[in-house]
This record gives sequence, C-alpha cells and structure tokens, in this order.
Amino acid sequence: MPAANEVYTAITYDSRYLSPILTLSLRGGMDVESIPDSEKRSFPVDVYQGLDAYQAGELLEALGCPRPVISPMSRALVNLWDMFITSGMKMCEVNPWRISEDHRPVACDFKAVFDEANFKHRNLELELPEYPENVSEFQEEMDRWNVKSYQGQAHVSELGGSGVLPILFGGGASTIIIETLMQSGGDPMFLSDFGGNPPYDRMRGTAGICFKHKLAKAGVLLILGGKANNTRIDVTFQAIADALAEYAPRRSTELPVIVGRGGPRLVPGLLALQRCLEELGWPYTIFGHDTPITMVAQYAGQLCKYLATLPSDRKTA
Amino acid sequence: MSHEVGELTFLRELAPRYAVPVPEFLEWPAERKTVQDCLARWKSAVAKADILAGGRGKAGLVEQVSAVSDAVRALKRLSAAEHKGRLARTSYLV
Repeated sequence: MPAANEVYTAITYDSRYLSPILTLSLRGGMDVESIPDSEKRSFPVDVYQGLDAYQAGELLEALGCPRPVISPMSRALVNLWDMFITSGMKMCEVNPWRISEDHRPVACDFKAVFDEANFKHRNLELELPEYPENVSEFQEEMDRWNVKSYQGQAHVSELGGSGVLPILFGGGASTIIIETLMQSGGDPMFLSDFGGNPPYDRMRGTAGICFKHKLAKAGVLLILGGKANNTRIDVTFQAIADALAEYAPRRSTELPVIVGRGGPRLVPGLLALQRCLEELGWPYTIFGHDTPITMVAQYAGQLCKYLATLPSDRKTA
Repeated sequence: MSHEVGELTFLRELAPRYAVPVPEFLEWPAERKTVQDCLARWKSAVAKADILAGGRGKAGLVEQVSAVSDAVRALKRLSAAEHKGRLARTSYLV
C-alpha cells in the first residue's frame, strides 16, 4: 500500500522499569538499533492501568507525528497494547505501521513472542502453527553424541553464522558469549555448552564433531569459559588439542585461535593447547580467568569481523 | 519457554481478535484465479515467506509483485525458503 508515513512500535518488558515499555518512532521500516535515540521515545506502561489513547497521543505528538494521524494511530496502539497484555506476550513489534494518505494506520509487519509460562497465553486457545525443523547433520550428530553418555554435556544449537567457531563452557557463560559475539560482528556458527567435567574421550569426541563439520569454514576458533570449579582444564584442553590436530589438515589456511579459561590444572591445559597450536603454526592469543569473558568474546568477534574484510591472500599472512 | 509468532499468524488469528488494522492477505497455496482477483483489487502486492527469522527483506524473502505469474512464482519460491537455518512454513501475499 502507498504510505505517507511509517511508524515503528515495540512493546517489551524492561528491567529498568520492572514493567512493559512501549517504544515508538516515526522512522518505521528500519532496524530499531539504527534509529537515533533522538527519534524514538520509550514509555513505561502501568500494567494495572494499561495504555490509554491520551498517553499514546502525547508520545506521538512529542515525536512530531502529523496531527491527523495521531488519533487513529493512538487507537491502534491501544488495541496493540490490549493484545500484548491479555495474551501473555513477552515482546511484540510492529515495524512498520504504514499510514495511508487518508491517515489510516495498517500494521505491515509483525513479530511477537508468547511467554508460555503465562496462563493468559493458554486462555487464548490459539492453534499456533508448527514450523518445519531444519536440523543440520552437525546438530543431529551432536544430539546423538550428547545422549550417549551422562558425563559432560555436549549441547549445541545451530545459529547459521559463518564466523566464529565457539567451543564454550558453561550454560550461562555461553549465552553471554554468543550475545557478545553477535553484537561485535563475530557471526557465531552455533551456540555450544560443553563442560560438566567431561573425561578425555568425551571431550575429544565433542570437539571432533565440531571440527569435522565446522573447522574448514571458520573465521576464528574461540575456546572460552569462566573459571571452572570442577572441570579439569588439562584434560579438556588436551582433548581439544588432539581433535584439532586431527582435523586441522582440512583447512587450506591458518586459523586464528582465541582462548580464555580458568579452573583446576589450568597451566598444563594451556600448555597442551599451546604445543598443538605452535606445531600447526596458527596464530593464537590466550587470556587467563582474570580477563572478563565478555572482553575476550568481543576481541574474538572484532577480529573475525576484521578478517572477513581482508582479501583471502592477506588472511594467511 | 517461549513461542514465537510470525506475521501470518498475527494477520489470521490475532489482528481480527484485537481489532488491530492490517492489510488484506492471501495464504499460499491458493488458486491462480484467487491470486488474480486479489491483484486486480490491490493493484500490486508483496509476497512474503512465513518464516520465523528476522531480516526477511534483506534476504530476498519479500518480493513486490504485480503480475499473476510473478506472484505465483514468488509464492512458490518463498514457501520453500530457508533463512538463518530456519525453513519457511508457507508464503503469503499482502
């Protein structure tokens, strides 16, 4: 439909206000991150009182919305709020609302996330469609490997990236690392959560599956976790080093390796990995547990982003 | 636990229930005649993949169409699209 204006709206929960917030901008159609702060407004909505058309209108007016659009757009926003709060959503985004020449707003793209723990979602009795699963060979092989033993977890989830190959330890740490990689341009290939003090054979198998499927196309190898309490670093790193030595010949170029870890028998573990990397002749940087994992992840992400801009002959230099 | 919702579910289930104004839409598969009628009424349309992944436009999974044959071809292509490791469930015209 032809549009005179486009509007961005999102309703999400915000820990700063401990309540939902409505974000509005007249720069619809763009990623919200690309919209300058001066051109968007956020407004915490009281869950008991809800959003009324007056509040929505004030926000639109503050953004410089054309006057004839304010009233119909405010009514549409109140309906959107009603949907958000009565259906138990965690987030909903309409980007853009297109405003027709007769000032009628129409929601032209939408995404939302229901909180399945919220009873309101079940009350809707919606039949949400099933989307086809797209399980890669890598994911399938790792899932089979994961259920073979109770010793040490081997969880991965494909992200479709083509940058950092992340061998990560610890569930919470993995999530923060992946988010940091995404923000810093690391384009991670998958999310991984290994650890749980895996014995040598278990870690060797886990790393082997990762390298078999992903090493050839990786931009940077990141081996990262927090300071372990009970995982023996010498055992896990020796297993990773041996798997790396096996699969490294599949690459035609050297691969930068970033390592960050802490825990029992850290130094023998780092030395085992260092020996392997020296033999391969690959560049590496090792961080100890005194460096925050987010800083290491950011370093890896930025390096990967930079390397992706180089011509292929410079990457091997 | 959470459950993502895409635009097509919003158009079909949520928008009418909460009176949120949305454009007319047509879900694939549809008869060629139905596509033709929609295009005659709307003048032009956008074919989109029903996929739970962001950045559809940049990935070429949103296509402007005005001729019936283009629309049908786009709807077929988009209903089998893959993006960011996810598969489309179907496609639709708005």
